[in-house]
Amino acid sequence: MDYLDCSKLHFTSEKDVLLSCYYNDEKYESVKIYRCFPLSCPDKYLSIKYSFSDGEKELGIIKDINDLSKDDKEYVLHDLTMRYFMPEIKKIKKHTYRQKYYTFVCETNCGDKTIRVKDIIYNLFTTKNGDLLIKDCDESYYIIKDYQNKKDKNIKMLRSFL
Amino acid sequence: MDFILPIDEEIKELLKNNHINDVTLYVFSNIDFNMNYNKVHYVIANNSLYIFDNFKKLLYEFNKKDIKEIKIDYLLNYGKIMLVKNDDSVNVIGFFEKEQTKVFSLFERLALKALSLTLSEEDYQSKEILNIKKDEEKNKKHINKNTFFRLFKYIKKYKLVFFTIVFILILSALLGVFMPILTGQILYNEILAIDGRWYGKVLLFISFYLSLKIISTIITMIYGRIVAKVSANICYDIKCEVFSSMQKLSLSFFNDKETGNLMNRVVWDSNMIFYYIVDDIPYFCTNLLQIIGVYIYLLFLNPLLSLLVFIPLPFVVAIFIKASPIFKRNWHQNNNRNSELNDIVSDTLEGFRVVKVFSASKKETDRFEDISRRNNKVFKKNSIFTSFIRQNVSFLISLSLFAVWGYGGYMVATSQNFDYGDLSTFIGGLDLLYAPLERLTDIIFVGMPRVLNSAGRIFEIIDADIEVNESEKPIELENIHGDIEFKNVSFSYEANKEILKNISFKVLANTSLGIVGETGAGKSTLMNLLARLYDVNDGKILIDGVNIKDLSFKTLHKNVSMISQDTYLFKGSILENIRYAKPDATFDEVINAARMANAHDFIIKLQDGYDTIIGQGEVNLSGGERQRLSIARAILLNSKIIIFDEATSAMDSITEHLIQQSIKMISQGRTILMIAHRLSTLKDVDQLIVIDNKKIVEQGTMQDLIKQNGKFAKLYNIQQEALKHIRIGD
Repeated sequence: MDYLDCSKLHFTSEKDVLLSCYYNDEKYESVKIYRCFPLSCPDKYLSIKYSFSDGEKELGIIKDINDLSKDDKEYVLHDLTMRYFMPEIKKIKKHTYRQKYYTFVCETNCGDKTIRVKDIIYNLFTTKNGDLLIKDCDESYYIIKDYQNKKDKNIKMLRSFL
Repeated sequence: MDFILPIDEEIKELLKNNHINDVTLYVFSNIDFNMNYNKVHYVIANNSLYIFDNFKKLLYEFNKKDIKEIKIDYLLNYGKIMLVKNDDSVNVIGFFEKEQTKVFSLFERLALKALSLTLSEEDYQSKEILNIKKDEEKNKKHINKNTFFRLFKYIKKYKLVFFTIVFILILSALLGVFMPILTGQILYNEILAIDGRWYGKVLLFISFYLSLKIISTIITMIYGRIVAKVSANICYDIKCEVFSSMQKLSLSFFNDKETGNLMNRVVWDSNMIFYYIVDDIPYFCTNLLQIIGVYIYLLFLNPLLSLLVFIPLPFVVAIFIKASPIFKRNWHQNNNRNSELNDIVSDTLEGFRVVKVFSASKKETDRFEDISRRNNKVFKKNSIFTSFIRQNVSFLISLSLFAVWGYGGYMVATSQNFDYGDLSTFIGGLDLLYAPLERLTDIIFVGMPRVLNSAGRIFEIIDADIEVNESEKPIELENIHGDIEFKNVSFSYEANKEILKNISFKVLANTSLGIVGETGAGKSTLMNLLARLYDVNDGKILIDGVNIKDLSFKTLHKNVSMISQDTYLFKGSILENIRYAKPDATFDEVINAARMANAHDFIIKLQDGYDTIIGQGEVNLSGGERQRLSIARAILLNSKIIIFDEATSAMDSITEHLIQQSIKMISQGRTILMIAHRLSTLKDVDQLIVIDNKKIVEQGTMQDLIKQNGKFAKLYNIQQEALKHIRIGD
């Protein structure tokens, strides 16, 4: 499989809004970066897509983010952080269960949020980094970092569903 | 006027203070520019877009003259709203959460229209707006459908029988209450005591006791018979209601549900409810009455001792209240694990061929064992916890028994107007009190969470919104011509993923249309919309000038039939499968339809002919044979419009030729729509459309499209080139 040659790949950004890149001296506008394995391998196998008249096309895949230069890596990380941004749950203040919905009143790094989760055992995921992802009814993700070491009893309760 | 979201008083005040009137569009987002949970308001009025933060401060103002486009980029958890100016520079003007995707998808589509004051009546009435309004009302309304009380509707139909059951149980309970009195007070104080009223009359006592036992047994037998009958009926009612509710639902409901999960609801969850209704509810009533009755009697017997009885009660209730959420959670997990197990069995069995081809039997076995182990673990945890609670409760209850023995014994020993007979009666009464008490707490704290879980899953099906509804005044068309028109049709399965955009074309009656495009272009979606398996987001589909949304389901389904690549034949005879389209079809009609579909020859070669049973586990038919049966079914229906969705794509050339012949025969006097990857299949169609990137990019006859040298010509040439390289007989 051919991957993009990171030595020939450079990124630029216009006012932090739109990412462009140069590959083999050719410019590609409105570039978006997607993780092929967002849960199991977040920093490897990154698909680079660019816009053209009929939609989006893949330029290629970056095998490892660490193959990029420092500046390019920053651009890529910025785009990925934006694209895959997830509120981090610091604390679960309360949880209730009704029929098959769990409702969690949470304190996140973005403010207080009430999350509704249906069929919880299908909507909890662990990552290699030891984080826990919760997917709510709207398919939005929330992250609990290092969940195994959290002392919050409501977070501990979630472990019984894993 | 509120559009798209309702404008609350605070915002109205804000707009008034800023001299903003004639709002044409309003939405708000739940997150601000820093991705924090603070509202940001978007108002389009006076040909401008105004953006306010949660503190009512005006952040941005853009005039229509400067705006080229509003675009949305969908991220993992959010949408990013971008404004493209006339000089092509891009500004990020906000973010929104996924739950607001519908709202902002509409905002993206209508913002420019709102800025130029060109919103139409159709925009205000579009399906998306109506769905958003429905969601808003659902959120506002306090839905108080108490799941538990809804279960009683299954009893309502049999209320007389239920009262009979309860009456019998009360009788049984009364007899049960009387027994300890008989074997206690009466035996010791009246039969065996010298000064008793019936001293020495032991034979009489035994006869009386035996009679009561016989009556009790007869009552139990009658009870058993009645319960068996009514329980079967209730089980039937529940299962039929769930299954028939499922039949009415739209296709979109099933898209994200596994078969095993749904099967579980029809079978397992229905059984849970049925056991609760026929077993637990009657026992709840009688146990409660028994407890009250017995306690009143004990109170009369000895008020002080009866107080001791209730010592453990607050602790028992406290234990159950604490344990109740854990019971609920455990049952929820239990049900989910059971569904998971069913899903994997169903999945593996359906894909058994793939399992064998990839030698994946061991892998599947390991997967099943892993899930079974998890299922086991949950079940064990649940059972251990339930048993633990029950044992603790039993122990607490038994403590009061010791207290009663102790103090009661003391009272007997010190002759405080309380003799051994009275004590024996009291102890016997306690047994009658504790057993139902334990059962009652079990019914409330263990049984109820379990049944509520199951009921919730069933009511999810019964309460599910039917997305494709028949019009309130449906139009019946007796003889349709078969003119079809798609007018500005747009559709997406999910709010931010448009499949078709502004599609318009006509197909005249008795002509044929071929639809070509790459995989995922939206060809099958077009046909699903015509068959009204889904409703369009925008635009209309007309048959003979009538919007299909206004046609009755009967007219539509009688006149539009679909033959797709995946043929589904139900378990039954060939005759029944063909007759599925028209149950009262005569044998002649069935044979005629099979002949026209080129299916008759292979059918009569089968041992049982048309009576051959097909379906899972029965006679296997080849793909081509199944396809021809499916065509015979469509012919029998005699629909005016027939859709062939890649009907021959998995066939060999000879079978394809046979099917093509059938199609040619049945095309006379019908409107045919055909989707095919193999362009040779479309050589006889009257016209073609090519779909690409959500739109129709080419339209015309095959010759015209080849001459145009566009997308169709490219596909055609590729296929022709491929055919040239096929060598025969090398």
